[in-house]
Amino acid sequence: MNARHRAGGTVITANRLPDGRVIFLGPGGWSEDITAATVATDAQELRALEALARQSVAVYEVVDPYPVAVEAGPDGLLPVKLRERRRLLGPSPGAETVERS
Amino acid sequence: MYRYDGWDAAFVRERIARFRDQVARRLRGELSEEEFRPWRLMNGVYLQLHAYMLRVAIPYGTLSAPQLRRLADIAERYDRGYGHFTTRQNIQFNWPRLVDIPDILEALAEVEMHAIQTSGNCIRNITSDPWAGVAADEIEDPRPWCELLRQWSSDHQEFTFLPRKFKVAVSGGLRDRAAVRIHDIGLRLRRDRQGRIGFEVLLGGGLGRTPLLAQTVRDWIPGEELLSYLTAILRVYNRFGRRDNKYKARIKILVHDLGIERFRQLVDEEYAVARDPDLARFAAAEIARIRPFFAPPPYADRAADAAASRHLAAIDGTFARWLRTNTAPHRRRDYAIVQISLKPPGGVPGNMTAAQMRALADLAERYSCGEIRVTAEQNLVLPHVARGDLPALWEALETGGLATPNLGHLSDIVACPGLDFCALATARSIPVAQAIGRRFADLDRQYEIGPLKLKMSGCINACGHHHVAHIGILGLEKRGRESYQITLGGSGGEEAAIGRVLGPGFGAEEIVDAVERVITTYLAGRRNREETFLDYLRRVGLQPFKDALYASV
Ligand code: SF4
Repeated sequence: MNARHRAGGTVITANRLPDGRVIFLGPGGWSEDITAATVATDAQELRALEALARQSVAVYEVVDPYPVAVEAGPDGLLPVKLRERRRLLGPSPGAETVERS
Repeated sequence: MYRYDGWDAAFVRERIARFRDQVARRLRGELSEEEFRPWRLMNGVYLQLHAYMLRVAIPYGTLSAPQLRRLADIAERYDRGYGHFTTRQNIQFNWPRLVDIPDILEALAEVEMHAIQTSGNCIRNITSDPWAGVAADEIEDPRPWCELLRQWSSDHQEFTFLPRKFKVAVSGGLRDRAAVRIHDIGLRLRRDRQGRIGFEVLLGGGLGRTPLLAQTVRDWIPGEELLSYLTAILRVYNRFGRRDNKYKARIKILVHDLGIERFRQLVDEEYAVARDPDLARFAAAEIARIRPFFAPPPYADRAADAAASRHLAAIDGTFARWLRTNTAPHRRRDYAIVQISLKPPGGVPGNMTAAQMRALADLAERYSCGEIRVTAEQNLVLPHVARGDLPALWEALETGGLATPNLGHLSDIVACPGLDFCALATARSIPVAQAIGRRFADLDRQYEIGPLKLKMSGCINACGHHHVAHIGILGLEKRGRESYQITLGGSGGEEAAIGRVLGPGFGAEEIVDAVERVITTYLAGRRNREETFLDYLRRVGLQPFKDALYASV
């Protein structure tokens, strides 16, 4: 985790257009991995990130981008809000039904 | 079962072709999300917490074996190998890719299924009694009427943009098994003195943030007049329903604000105009055309071996308890209605794997004239099983993990997807339902407790119908943590009632113990085993439960 991730701040998330999966905006583009996300630590940085996200909307890569407050957790970045944490982590263990083998 | 005619088939195909084009244009960037959203919703496609979700209608809860097999194929090919049956006789797939959805819809259309009007401010999938056509107390099979309503409401130009979504349920039995009082319109089939078929029309029920029970707006309307009468109701709603505030837009709010008397007056005035002899003639002719599709299957006379299940029950206690809890009387004495619990201990309520779907489709063909029903309590039904076949069927269900004998008992929990999947959720439902299911897995204890309905929702929208549960649980977020509020004394169906909130919520780690205390309070206080949880609660009120749960706080 880099210093910015340790400090927390805001990341931009969205859903990928063709398959709907949750993604985060980083320097290398959009990724399902939050550790690859750019963390904005002030309003100016956030505005720059949002401008980038709007470009992705304009070229039909992503749906409904929005900012999410994050903080450093034991295993890396974690959204502050309950809903956003669940959105990052996926369904709870056992909340999907798997074929009995 | 109803079979599409040329018009139905062409309509569904045309909608898929249009949606395929809309998806392609969206992916090419010719449609923005704002432009595309209404189209995807009209075809049952939501964008949920982690992915797109596809909601497929199972009209009036009736499925054929090939249809169930097709759902299995879709689950496996396009999703994660399972589907989730909802409280509205729909099935949801949690992980389809947008790019695949036109193909999924095509695969559904091949078996005469679709996802049309499973979302949006239109008349939604018409729901009905899962025992339709076989219940011992039935006046007439309600499904031809549901099918008439499905056709009439499909793509109805005047009612495609209502102030809010609109849910209709139709019940054909003396007992209400379609929960008509929690629907925007509930229809109870009745005969008049001359033996003519008609309906009692109930209006303005619904759960969500303002739970209200439907009230009778008309005691009896002849069957052929039904479409004109519903047209009148929907016109009044379309004209006066609020569009400025989505939380006040359902018809229940309008009925509540105007009062049922005034609403009835407005409907009667409109009905005088909307009453259309041509529509009545059409309805009568169409019902006559549809009815034969729902004729009883050619039952073999199985009186000779009907006692087989009684004999096995006498020597096998495991079979006996399944027979007691999971079967119900059929209109024919040599047949039974078999209920399949989708609530194994620790399972996800309403979920079914592709392998289970295929196994059940095979069993339906072998033992139930190829028919399966889907219930509003997230279970399935095999409606036409000869009593002589029950032992063999039970064994096969056991092998497939489909014979949990808990119907109508505590672990037969209804739960919405909650925060594990739903974008609107405030708390998780599934892990709580699983934990309660595990805590009360002991069947003898459940039978000792007696009939009990526990239902939970992951937010105020109440898709898990917690308001009409004997024990309801509502998941909320309080200061960044999940908090679970208990309501007691609700009931769906006959003697419908809205549950009352017990008090402040419990944390995720406390809620199972809280349910346990509710149960022990009842067991300690009931007069005898005949006094059910609901009877006890109605006798003593909330206070003993409050004392047990909050006294030390
Ligand atoms: S009750 Fe709320 S959380 Fe549950 S499915 Fe409905 S909207 Fe989602």
